[in-house]
Amino acid sequence: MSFPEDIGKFFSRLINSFRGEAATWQRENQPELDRLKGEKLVAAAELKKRLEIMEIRFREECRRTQMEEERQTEQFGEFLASIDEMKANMLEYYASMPKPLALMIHHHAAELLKEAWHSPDARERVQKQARFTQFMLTITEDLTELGNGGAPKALPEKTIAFIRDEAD
Amino acid sequence: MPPHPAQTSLIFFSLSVAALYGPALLAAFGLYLYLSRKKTRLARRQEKHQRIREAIAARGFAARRKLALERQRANIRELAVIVREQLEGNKRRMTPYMHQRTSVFIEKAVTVVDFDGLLALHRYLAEADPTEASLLMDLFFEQTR
Repeated sequence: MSFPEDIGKFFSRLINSFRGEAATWQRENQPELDRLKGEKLVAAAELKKRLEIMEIRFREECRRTQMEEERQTEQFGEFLASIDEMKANMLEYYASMPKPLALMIHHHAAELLKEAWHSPDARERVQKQARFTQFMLTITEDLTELGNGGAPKALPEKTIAFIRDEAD
Repeated sequence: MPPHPAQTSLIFFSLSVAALYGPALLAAFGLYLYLSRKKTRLARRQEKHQRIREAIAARGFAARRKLALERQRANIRELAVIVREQLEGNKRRMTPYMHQRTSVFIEKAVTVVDFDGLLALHRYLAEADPTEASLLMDLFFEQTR
């Protein structure tokens, strides 16, 4: 017998012995293998179900986040519009008021609003929101005093004092 | 012609570098794979959705910032008109360079919404002695530098 044939036979015997061993092992452990297979199927079904539930929950959360962001943007836009309106009112009611002063009040209010909205720290955000509300109330107070027929003033003094306080 | 010894040493040196760092790189890659595989499908999905939610929030934030910027820019443009008028009023008393420099400052202030800078310039121009406009503007830019 030639050398290549020997090698061939050796390998075929080796493979056969391996396959035999594997078949024997499989026969012996068949119940265990079936049980594991069943468990795997159950786990896969469970995982699929959990993923589906999670997907529904996340979709809902995303929708809610989207709505919340839209609401916040809308509200922010409304506040900005009210700042514009406040500037127009100031220029209308305080006829002798220099325009740069009204522009400065507008800028100050916009900066406060931005800080109140975009501050990363929640507590700081609340503080800034309170500050912004206070500032807008001060402006309204100045304008109301003027509208109620009080002593005519050339400038919104309380608002200017508020800005000075912030600067100090 | 046989290769020069320097060329040979270059090849051997490269091989030695690969032999030294190759296993370390492979080990690092293996560690990365092991750690990334440790996450379950649920955790990966959760992270993905977290990223999506953060992206939604970031888009909202950017939209609000843009809104504020538009309004603030419109506001500062009104101030820029006033300051430009002041500048044109002082044009004859200023050197062309200083006029150009101030114009650029105004444009830049509008672009970057530097309201305080523009307001300071407005006050400076309003209070400055018109006969010394160029010199005073020089001083102003010295302060803002």
